[in-house]
Amino acid sequence: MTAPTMDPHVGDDVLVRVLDDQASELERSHARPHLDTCDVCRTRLDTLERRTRSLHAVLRAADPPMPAMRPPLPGAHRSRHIPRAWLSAAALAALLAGGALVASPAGVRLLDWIAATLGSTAPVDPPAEPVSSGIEFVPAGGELVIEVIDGRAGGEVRLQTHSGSSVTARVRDASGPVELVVLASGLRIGNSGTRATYEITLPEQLRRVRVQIGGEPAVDIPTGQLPRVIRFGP
Amino acid sequence: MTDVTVLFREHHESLWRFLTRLTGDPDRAADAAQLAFVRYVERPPVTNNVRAWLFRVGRNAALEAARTHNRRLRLLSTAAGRVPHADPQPAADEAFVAADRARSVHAALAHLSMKERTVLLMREEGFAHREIAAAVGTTTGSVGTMIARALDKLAAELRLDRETST
Repeated sequence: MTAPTMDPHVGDDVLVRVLDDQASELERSHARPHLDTCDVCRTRLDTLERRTRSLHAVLRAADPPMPAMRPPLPGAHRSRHIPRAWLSAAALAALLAGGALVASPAGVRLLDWIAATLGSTAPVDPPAEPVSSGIEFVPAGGELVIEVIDGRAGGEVRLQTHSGSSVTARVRDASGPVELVVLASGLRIGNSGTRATYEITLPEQLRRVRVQIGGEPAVDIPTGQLPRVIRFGP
Repeated sequence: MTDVTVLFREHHESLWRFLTRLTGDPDRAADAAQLAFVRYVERPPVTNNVRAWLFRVGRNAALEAARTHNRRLRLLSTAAGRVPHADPQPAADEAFVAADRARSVHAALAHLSMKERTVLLMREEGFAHREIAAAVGTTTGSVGTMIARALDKLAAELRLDRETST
């Protein structure tokens, strides 16, 4: 039986680390003297270096021009930070607690007292507060995609043009939170479960607008055919 | 929290370039890069390496978008007759050559595993091996091996062994 022989050469991992200046002091102290005397390792290092340089050039040459983008503004979107599962659990707990209170004798007496104090037994619903928000941005290209995430939530998209260069989107009479996110391709409306009216004004020079609602096939509308109202949902 | 405008100026171009090369789709890359910054504004991460965090979030967003896109493509292919198609734009020679070059580079990169592609492209953006290792869930030691293997795989396809003038 022959004893296993150690590979005398420097491994690819160490060669790449040497190339990238990421090798430890110990690795460098072993690799450098070996590279000075070993043609095999020297050639392999040169190959890796040449390929790295070539790849850099090839990638740079193939990069498309970068679209004009702006950083998102803190006030430009609305989002829920409370996980939905927590909200569901809280709502269920409130429902059970309310039911238990109304069903108990103490609860009945309490309700009678409240009714007597208020002078009426009719339940009074607090008025729903409509939510409105908006956003303005300059589109990157000649066309714009407007994506409405939840097609079943209901509402309408009102499209019109103006002579300016920016897109303005306003959310009217929303029954809940709506997230407006500006993307390179256009505008994403995160309306999960929220019914609302979306008033969107587009620059006249835009070629066309593509509206996609709830994963349905997109509808292409030349801006020359605006204004238009698109209703969706139940 | 670092000012998002400063972060955007420092890292957006690099992130977009990385995601474009990773996905081969500049628009999807721009969306994913923008979403990474939106996530940063919404919930600033507790990390001392925001750049690596942005790249990780952007990469996840791009991959998720790619999965959604592929699902939609499958749906559309079953209803091709109902889908409106725009006329193709006449392409200028230069744009055609550039698009062709980008396609062949992306096709070559697509032969690598997602992990190899991420490692190679993060290296291109100047990340340290330990940052790359953390991003793809491997050891720092194996990053060098993956880079060498990926370069070997791309060498023939992209003719990397020719000397470049740049």
